[in-house]
Amino acid sequence: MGRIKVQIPLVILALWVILALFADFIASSNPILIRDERGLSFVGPYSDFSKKSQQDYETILMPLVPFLPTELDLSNKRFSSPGSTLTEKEISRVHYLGTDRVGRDILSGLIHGARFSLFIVLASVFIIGVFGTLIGVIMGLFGDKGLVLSRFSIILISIGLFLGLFWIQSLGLIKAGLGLGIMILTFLILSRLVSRSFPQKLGRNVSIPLDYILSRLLEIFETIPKLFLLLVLISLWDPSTERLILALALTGWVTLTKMIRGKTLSITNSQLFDSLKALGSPWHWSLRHHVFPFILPDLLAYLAYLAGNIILIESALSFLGLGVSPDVVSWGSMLSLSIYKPDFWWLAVLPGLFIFAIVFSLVRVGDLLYSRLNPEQTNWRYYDLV
Amino acid sequence: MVFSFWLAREAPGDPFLIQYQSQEKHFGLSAKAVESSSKQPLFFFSFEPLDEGHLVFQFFPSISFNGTHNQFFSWTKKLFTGDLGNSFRWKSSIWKVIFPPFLVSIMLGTISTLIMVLLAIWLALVLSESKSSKTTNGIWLVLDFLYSIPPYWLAILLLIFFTSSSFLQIFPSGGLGGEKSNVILSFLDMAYHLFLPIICLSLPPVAYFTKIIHQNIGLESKKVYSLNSASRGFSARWILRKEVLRNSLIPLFAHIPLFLSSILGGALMIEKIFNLPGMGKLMVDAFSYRDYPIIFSIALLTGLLTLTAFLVTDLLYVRFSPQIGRGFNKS
Repeated sequence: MGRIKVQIPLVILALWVILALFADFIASSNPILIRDERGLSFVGPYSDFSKKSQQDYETILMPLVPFLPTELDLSNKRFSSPGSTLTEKEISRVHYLGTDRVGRDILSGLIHGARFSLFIVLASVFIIGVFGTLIGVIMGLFGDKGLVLSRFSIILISIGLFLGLFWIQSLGLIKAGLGLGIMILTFLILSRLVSRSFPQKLGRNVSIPLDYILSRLLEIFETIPKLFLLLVLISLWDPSTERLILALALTGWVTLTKMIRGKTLSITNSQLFDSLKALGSPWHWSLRHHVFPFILPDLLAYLAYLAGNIILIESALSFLGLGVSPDVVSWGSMLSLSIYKPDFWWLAVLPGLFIFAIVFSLVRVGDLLYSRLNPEQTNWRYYDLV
Repeated sequence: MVFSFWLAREAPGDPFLIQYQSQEKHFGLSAKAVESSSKQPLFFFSFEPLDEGHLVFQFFPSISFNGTHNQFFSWTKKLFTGDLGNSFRWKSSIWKVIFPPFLVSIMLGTISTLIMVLLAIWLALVLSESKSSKTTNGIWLVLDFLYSIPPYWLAILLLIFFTSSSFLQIFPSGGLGGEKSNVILSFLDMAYHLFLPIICLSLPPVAYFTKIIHQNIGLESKKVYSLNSASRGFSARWILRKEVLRNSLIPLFAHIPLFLSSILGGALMIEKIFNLPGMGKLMVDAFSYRDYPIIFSIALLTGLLTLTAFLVTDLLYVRFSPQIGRGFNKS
């Protein structure tokens, strides 16, 4: 029994990835193989088939679902029922689950929706994972006293930040990069000169409460309603996939960063870390051999939960018709069609079932990962409010 | 300790700032659309390159102080006098447009929160009382289920299978109801109309709260007082329900403001699907009409609401757990 419980979520996730990778071969308007007088030839989804279609074929092998999700079937508009066919150039193709309002194939949309959701999830989880872990580990490692800079360099850094932001805003990225490069060079030379000549006042070292500052920043982010921030961001921007990913990453990094910070602090405040310092191990050594193995189970498990959460949020957004441009087919936007057509129950059940199954298996896999990597603790969940 | 606690709690002031900065920024854009006051600078200070085309001087900013003639200031002034501007779509004051949906949303939110918290408490109690791993595993499975169901999917399924004429037509398909002659009758009618939406609103967050309560129960039952009560001969059930549960509900206050905003967000889809005239539906409609004053007023109002909720929960926190107010854990 236990085996099956573990395997079902993994199988679902594997199916998801397979659907996403081979969506073009499963659902496409081009045939896979044709046999004509010259013999058997491979066509596939990426070749331009319509130009060659004047010839006669003996046999033709179509993909499992013979439509592209973006293909408009004008003869089967306004929710035609399952089994309705389109015959063009003596090839007749069947809509297995019917069509939507403008004549797009529903089943094909379902299959290609897997690709879209996988792409969104991988991209935003990657961004959040990298930046969240980085900031969290920095906060935990430096703490409130770890980062020590001279007053002079603090002044220089703040001037540099101000000027850099100003340049990016007014001059564009290339000129800003150029300006920053020149500035850093001059400051490097200046700092050499000045730190020798004014050692008393400007050269005095001050510890920066990095952890404190960043924690307040995180709290500010945490208190803004997540979905509202997301909606406001998206309403300000034009709909595009990259911006949707960016917005998802901007709203999703806080919890991960807080968690990583807490974990890192709990090890940097321990006696182990003090003794490591006393033994003179370099910081990257303790990072690699003590901090990362310690935070890894939580990180992996949380990323699985986060992926589930992002699927939920993304499908909610496309359900509302926000975030992505209307010609992109996603499960959320397919769900929103079902309100207009209650007779097509599969239109409501299938996309939602896909979302549900994937989120459920991600939660299960996250739990599994955690309990395998961290055997003392059980029943550990990172539920998040959507 | 006390200071950092209060500062952490003071931070909710800032979403307000961020939201109205974005709002202010956007008011700049929308003002441009109607070509009024778009010439005014955005903020108190403005930075411009000294000389646009010059090779060297374009890298030096010239800073100018704008005084009170900037959009940010005038917008803030308007805000404090209670003037949020007019809706593009309804052509009337925003307060008039927002107020009735606001009441509906608050009602929905309160009812579903109550149901949700009661359910979560019950599940957490069962989780911590049961000794068989089958029950606990089953409950965790159910919670995983509840967590991974998209609320709007649940809403659509209920809508299709219980309200449409093709399947079972048991419940009304939408609207608020409650327009009957008798008070009791109209209350019943409203309950009948709101039954499905409230199911959709209260079920998905149950997982999150059950986990929190269960965690707190685990922490509290390890403390000395429960051992003390056990040594005096109180039953485990009595200790759990009368002593441990009370203390483990206190930290829940910290989660309520976050939950408030999330229920407003979750209500966005549910209200749209069930055609309830709440804030969520208003906001979705405002998005499709690009009615920016409404969008940002709602965002502002939600920010304010979250802020007030944080303040109220802080006060309640101190009231229920006096050791926080007195700086008990000073170190």
